[in-house]
Amino acid sequence: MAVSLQKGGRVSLEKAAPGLKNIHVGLGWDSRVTDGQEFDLDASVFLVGANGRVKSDDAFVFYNNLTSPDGSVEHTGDNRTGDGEGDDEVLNVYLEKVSSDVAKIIFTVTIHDADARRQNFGQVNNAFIRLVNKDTGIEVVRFDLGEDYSTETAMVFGEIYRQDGGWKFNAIGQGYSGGLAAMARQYGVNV
Amino acid sequence: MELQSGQNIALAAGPIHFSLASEPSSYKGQLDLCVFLLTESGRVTGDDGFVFYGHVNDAAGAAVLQPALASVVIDTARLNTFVTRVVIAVSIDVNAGAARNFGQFTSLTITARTQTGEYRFQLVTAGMSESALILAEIYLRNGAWKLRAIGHGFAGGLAPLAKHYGVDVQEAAKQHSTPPPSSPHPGQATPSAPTAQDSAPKRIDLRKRQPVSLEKPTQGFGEIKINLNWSRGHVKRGFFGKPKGGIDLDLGCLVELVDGKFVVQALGNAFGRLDAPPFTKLLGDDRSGESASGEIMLINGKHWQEFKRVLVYAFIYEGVPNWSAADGVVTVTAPGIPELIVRLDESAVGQSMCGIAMLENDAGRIRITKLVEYYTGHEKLDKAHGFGFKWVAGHK
Repeated sequence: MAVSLQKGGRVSLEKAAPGLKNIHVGLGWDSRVTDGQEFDLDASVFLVGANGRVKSDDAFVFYNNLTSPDGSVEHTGDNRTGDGEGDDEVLNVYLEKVSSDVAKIIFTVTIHDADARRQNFGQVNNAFIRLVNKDTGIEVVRFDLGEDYSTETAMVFGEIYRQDGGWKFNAIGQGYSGGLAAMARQYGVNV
Repeated sequence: MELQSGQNIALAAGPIHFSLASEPSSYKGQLDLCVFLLTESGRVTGDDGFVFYGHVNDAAGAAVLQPALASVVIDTARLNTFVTRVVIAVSIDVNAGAARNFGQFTSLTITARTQTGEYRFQLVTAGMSESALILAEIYLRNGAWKLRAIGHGFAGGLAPLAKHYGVDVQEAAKQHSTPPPSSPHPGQATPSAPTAQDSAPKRIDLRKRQPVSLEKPTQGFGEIKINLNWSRGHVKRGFFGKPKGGIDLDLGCLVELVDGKFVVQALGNAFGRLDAPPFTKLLGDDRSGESASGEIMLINGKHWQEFKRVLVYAFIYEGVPNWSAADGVVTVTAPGIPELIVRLDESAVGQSMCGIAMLENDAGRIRITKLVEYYTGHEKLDKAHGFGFKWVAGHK
């Protein structure tokens, strides 16, 4: 059975799913039920070193750069509306391919054009991130971002990080203002 | 403190007073506030959980709406424990003026006042196509109430908004699709009702209650006319041509003036008068439904400021209480508003009394609310609406 984490919760992927190598990372949220412009949420991934910054700009995987240089992270494409059951955006992570100088893989979601559309995470319901073992199809860990968000336009959903030679997952759920550009700058991407 | 859409804030304990202002304020008379009391599932607690101009407070008194002031007080201490979210919304009454959507406004401002603070959410509405908007919600979070500003809504108005929260809404279109009843007078023109309905502006029919509001006039209204028409049913003619076995429907109303309450109906010869209280008069009595004009009740709108409310009803005086066979149609007309047409076509076996519509004085405006509630008699109808008359059997 999948581990369900609260905000700030951590779990060893080795313990939760021994032998886990290839991960389907699903991110989801409810699509807008009222009339008006859809919420276009974009998943992005930052592969950062021990200093918390990307080694190069292409270690920022997003809708215009779908694969990391080491091939360890693949973005499967942009869902523009959040329609449909289950995952709205999916990333594949191949742990064995992760470059040795990457300490953390950070999964973020930002609201596209948030300021112009006057949208924020206070208006988005039922966001989640889940990790599924790609080889078995079994869900390993899930984090429902039940936090009471407000005017944040960018959100760190969670991260996979190295510890003691293995990988752990941390449920973060921390929001920021400023959207994708501010988020990217924070991790050392030249925007 | 100013809030922006999506923003939330913790609230102090105690009642929260919401009030709505609009820019330009000239449209204010067209704005209708409403409240949804929601359970964890995001749906209303039942009919009582939808508080609007036709139902201005819930049974517990947790949400008390003052339609004329565009304000509502939410007392979280009175909420049922299964209510975890209260939504404050506004819709445009398209029958009451020129505004059709919020794009015609510049902005809306909802202000929430508590004992310790005041929170304002100004929503810039220019360019919006919505005609119903969720302004704000208060919700339980870790045992305490919080306020969130929202500002999202629906272009389709109150109906999709109410549906969104699980209110059982019957749309006007469904009613339009039903064919008009056959004329009770073959060879003659059908009474104007069905045509008027087809040409009337589309409006929301909240199944039991269909409200129409009127702009506040400067000096009373003209004549308000209530017409009841029905089909004779399968009338057997007796030897001298006297109809036998037909249905006799009687139109009546309970009138509550600022001082005094009156019954106006044929039974007991209480026909009323127009120039003095009750300012309401029943014109004649159609015993058979054969008169082309049916029964007519007039209200002298010039004295509307002396009225509190008028409950219009019909009852079956003679014949089997079978409303679907009677095919009754009640039309309420007042100058300058679309006709309100109420069809008494539900089968309500054994119940001879039907409460049709309530006309209320809402700060000088007439609020007409369609009821269509069936009762076994006058007393039950009275009791349901709290007029408090003493009832004895009578005849005419």
